[in-house]
Order: sequence, then structure tokens, then C-alpha cells
Amino acid sequence: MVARSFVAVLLSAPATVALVGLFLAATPPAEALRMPSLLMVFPVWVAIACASYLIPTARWAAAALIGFSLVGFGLIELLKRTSVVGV
Amino acid sequence: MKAITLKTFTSVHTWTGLGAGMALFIAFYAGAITVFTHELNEWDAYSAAAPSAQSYADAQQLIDTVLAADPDAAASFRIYPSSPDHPGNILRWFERQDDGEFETFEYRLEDDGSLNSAVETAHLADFVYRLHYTAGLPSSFGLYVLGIVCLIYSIALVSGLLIFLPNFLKDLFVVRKGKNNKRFWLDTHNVVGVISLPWHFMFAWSSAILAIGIFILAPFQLLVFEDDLLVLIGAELGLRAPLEATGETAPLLPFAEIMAIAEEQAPGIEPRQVRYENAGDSNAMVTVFGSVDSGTLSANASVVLNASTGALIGLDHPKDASVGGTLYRGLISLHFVDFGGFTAKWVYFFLGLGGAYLFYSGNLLWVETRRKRRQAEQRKTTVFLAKLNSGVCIGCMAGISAAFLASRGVADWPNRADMTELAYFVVFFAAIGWAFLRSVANGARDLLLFTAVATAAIPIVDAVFIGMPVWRSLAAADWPMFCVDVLAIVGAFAFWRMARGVQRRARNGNPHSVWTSQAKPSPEQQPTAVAADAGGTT
Repeated sequence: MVARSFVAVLLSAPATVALVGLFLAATPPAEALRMPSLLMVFPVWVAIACASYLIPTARWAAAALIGFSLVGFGLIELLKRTSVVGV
Repeated sequence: MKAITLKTFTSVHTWTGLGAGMALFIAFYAGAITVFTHELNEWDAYSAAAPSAQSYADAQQLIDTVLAADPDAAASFRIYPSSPDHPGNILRWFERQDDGEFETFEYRLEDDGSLNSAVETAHLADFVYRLHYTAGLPSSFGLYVLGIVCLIYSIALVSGLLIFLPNFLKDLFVVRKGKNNKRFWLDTHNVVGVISLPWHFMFAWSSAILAIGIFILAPFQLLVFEDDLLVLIGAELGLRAPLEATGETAPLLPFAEIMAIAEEQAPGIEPRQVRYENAGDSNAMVTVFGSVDSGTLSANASVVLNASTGALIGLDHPKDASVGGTLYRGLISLHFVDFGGFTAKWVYFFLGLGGAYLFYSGNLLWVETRRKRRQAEQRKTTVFLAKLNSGVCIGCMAGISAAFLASRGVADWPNRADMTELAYFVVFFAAIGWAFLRSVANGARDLLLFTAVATAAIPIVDAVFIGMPVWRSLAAADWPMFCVDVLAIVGAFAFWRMARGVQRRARNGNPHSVWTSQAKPSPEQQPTAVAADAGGTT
């Protein structure tokens, strides 16, 4: 449980940044969305951390969260390089 | 819900609760008291010779006199204008010391026009507030630790809700008080948790933003945003950098004129604090912070002016706030109960105490669940947690009562603030030590009795040291004094009842428990432990 909790709390943080960051990057530049999205980071972080417990093992949960984060950051970078960004 | 999912989240709830429970107990018990921080400060700063109300002209005289006597104050100082609740203008400024701490300078204008530079020594409200957001750990470190605790607390809330959901309608508001103590603790834990769940979610969310908001934003700056994020959202957060000093001298606009402009910009504003930066410079800035009747959750507004010309630099008003600004202000207002007057404050007070109970009962449930029903000897980990839970939780309550006594008892001492904190920490750590020296039941009973005595002594020291027994504070309509004393009497009675309950269970309860003080049976009298039992009846 300790390993799973470390995975849930620590690795859900980059996954949250990737998810909310991707939303901010993919939506049209709108000031109205920026602050509410950033305020939603904490609930999203908690939701991802809790959802990670549904993955049977700590190793699989870690792999899923790392994979999710890498894909998210990759897409953000892609959007930035193609100048299709909202941030 | 699948059985395996339920089992996983039960385990998550148990371990997250254990990991964060005691820090959260301190945060919620101190937080419940902090709801009345202004009233507590009035209790603490009681003076038979109350200051008289002062005008804006008096505030102007105070500013002029302080700047003439202490020119260093011009860089940054604050005026707390006289109000019906806090009569008398106060000017404060802070000087950073080599060790990073700030020295406070405080000035008041006496009736004869002389300057009174005695710093207010009442520190109890600030100290209890600090306990609320640090749990007694060193300030910045404690704040960040509590921020992480908020995340663990949120996971505990979600997992608690998930494991309660299958029996939601069946067990909602059901409290089964009988011989089964575990069932009683579980039912009350569930009822309190369900009733206050939305409030707890709000608290976890807003506390995390307040405690570790900057760390939440940092990765977005690094990985997502190209521009300076604090510039992008600074206005919505109410952040405004002071104007850069030009070096050209310019006189300050009269205080009354600044207040008139603030009233014009934010009609009905009730000023709480007026903050000056670079006074005497042509780019001097003044910010008037206050409350407005906005018709929204947040009542906080601020008007930023050039302190020499009166030109408007910025206006933060709840009615003009963006969606994000409204959401942020709303969360902060919900956290600090900036709405609803005393009714909302009392609701928060009882919800705060309920929250403290939630974490205490959660730990008790862990102890009850691991009780070995067929032998007197209990697991070492169970005994350890039961002792730690008693020491930390009851020690915190005893420590806070001791801090009340110390603050009143040494009100004339120059180091009153240090003595107030010392009283808390001495009692808190002594309580933990005592809990480990004694058996679980005797330790908890002793600590509860001590807390009852310390709490009952609060109205007594009020009567002895400042001549304000309860009936006199009632007759004088001194509500902060009256409420503190009455709550102390009620609290002392509750602690005494709890001590009696612990004592009763220790003497008459099942001897196969950490809560017994009965002599352990000899090995031949003791039935064989077939298996490590979990749960069961008393």
C-alpha cells in the first residue's frame, strides 16, 4: 500500500499537469479559461490519484501514469511547435 | 462495486487517514477556534481602559508623527483605521532582520497627541491560527507539509465516500449505540463525515491552493506557458507589484482624501487596512483594503491609488471579477468564512470540531478493528497508535487551553507571546510523553482530566486577573469574553465526561482491549488465541 500510495500521490502530479496543460494548449486562447483550469488542477490531481488505485499493481499504475504524462507532454510540445497553441 | 475495489479503497482510506489524521486533528481543532480569530484577539487584548474611537484626521496626525519620528517606516507601512469593533487607529511597519524574521513596529496616537509605540503583546489568536496551518511545525515547512496532507486528506475523503456508497441509504444517519463500541465509532464517523463532506472537499481544495498553490503553478510555467504566468493571472489573484520609486519627493495626499476616493471607486467600502509603499515619493502607492456589499460570496475589495496624486492605479471589486477571479475569491471566502456573519461562523466552528472528531474517531476505529478479542495482550502497533493518538490529539487540546491560561496569566510580561507558545508546546509534548508512560486507558483518562481542569481554569483566570467573571462580561455585553468563558465551561464539562467514559470502560469494559486497566489474567486463565481477530464486540 505504501508503494501504491507513493505512486498515486507523486506520479499523478505530472499526469495532472499533462492533462490540464493539454486542455489549456488545445483550447483557443481565452483568458476566461486560464484561471478556472488552473484552479481545477487540485481536484483533477485527486481524481487521477484515486483512479490509479484501480490499476491492480503499483508497477502497472506507475507505468500508466508515466506513459500518460509523456504522451500529454509530447502533445503539448507538438502543439507548441506547430503554433496551434492556446497558451 | 466489485469486492476487490471496495477492499482496495478501504485499505486506501485506512492508510491515508492514519497518515494525515493527527496533523488534520490539530488543523481542525485550531481551525474551529480560528473561525473566531478577531473575537479571540479581542478576548486576548482585553484592557479595562478601552481605546476611544478616532477619526481620519487622527490617522493623518498618526502618519505625520510616525514618519517624522521614524523615517524608515516610509518604505512600507500599514494603517488599521479605527472601527466600531476596533476603536483607535494603529500604524504598523515591519523590518526584516538578518535572520529573516520580521520585527514589528506599532504606533498609536494617545488622546494627548503623544505617540504610543508599545507593541501589542496579545499573540494567542495569531498562534492558534498558525497551529491551524502548520500543526505546530516550523512555519514554511509546516505550511508545505499541510499542503501535502491536504492531498492525502482528499484521497481519504474520496475513498471514504466510495466505501460508504454501497450502504449509503441504509446507513445514512444511523448511529447504533450498544455494546459494540466499534459499530458506534463507525456510525458516528460516517454520519459526521457524510454531513460535512462537501465542506471537507472545499477545505481540502482551498487549503491546498493556499498552502502549495505556488508549487502547483510552477510546473505549468515550466512546461506549458511561454509567458510569465504570474503576470497572466496576477490580476485575478489580486497581486499587484508596487510602483517603482522615482526618487522625486512629493507630499502624501491627506488620509481623508484617499478614503474619499476609495469610497467613490468602491461605494460602501468598509476599510480594514490601508497600505502605503514608498511614502514621500512621487510614485508612492496606497492600497485601501476593505469589505463591500457585493451580493456575491466574496466581500473583499481593494482600491489602489497613487498616494501623491490620487490617480487610480487599480480596482479589485468582486462585481468586476472574471470567472476565474470569482472562483478563486469564492474558494478563499469559503475557507475564511468571509460571509454569512456569526451564523456561518458558528456553523464552521461546529463543523471544525466535527472534523477533528472525524480524524480522532478514524484512528480509534483502526485501534478497535485490530483488537484481539480473545487475549488481553494486544498488538504493539495497536497500543502504539492508541497512545500516540491520545497524546497528540488530547495533548493539542490541553496545550491550547494552557496557551489561553498563559496568555492571560502573563499579560504584563514583555515576552508574553513566547510564553503563550511555550505553554502550548510544553503541555503538548508532556502529554505525548505521559500517554506513552501510562497504559492507554489511564493515559487518556489523565490527559482528559488535565484538559478539563485547564479549560475550566480559563473563566477563573479571567475573573482573577482582569476582574471579569462570566456574569460581569454578560452584564457588560462583552460577547467575546462571555463566549470564551462559557465555551470553556462547556468544553471542560465535555472533557470531564469523556474522562469518566474512558474510566468506566477501563474498569468495566472487556479486558481484551487496549482500553482496559484491569489486571491481565495469568496465562492459564487466558483462553487460547485461535486467530488474530479483527472487529467484533466489546
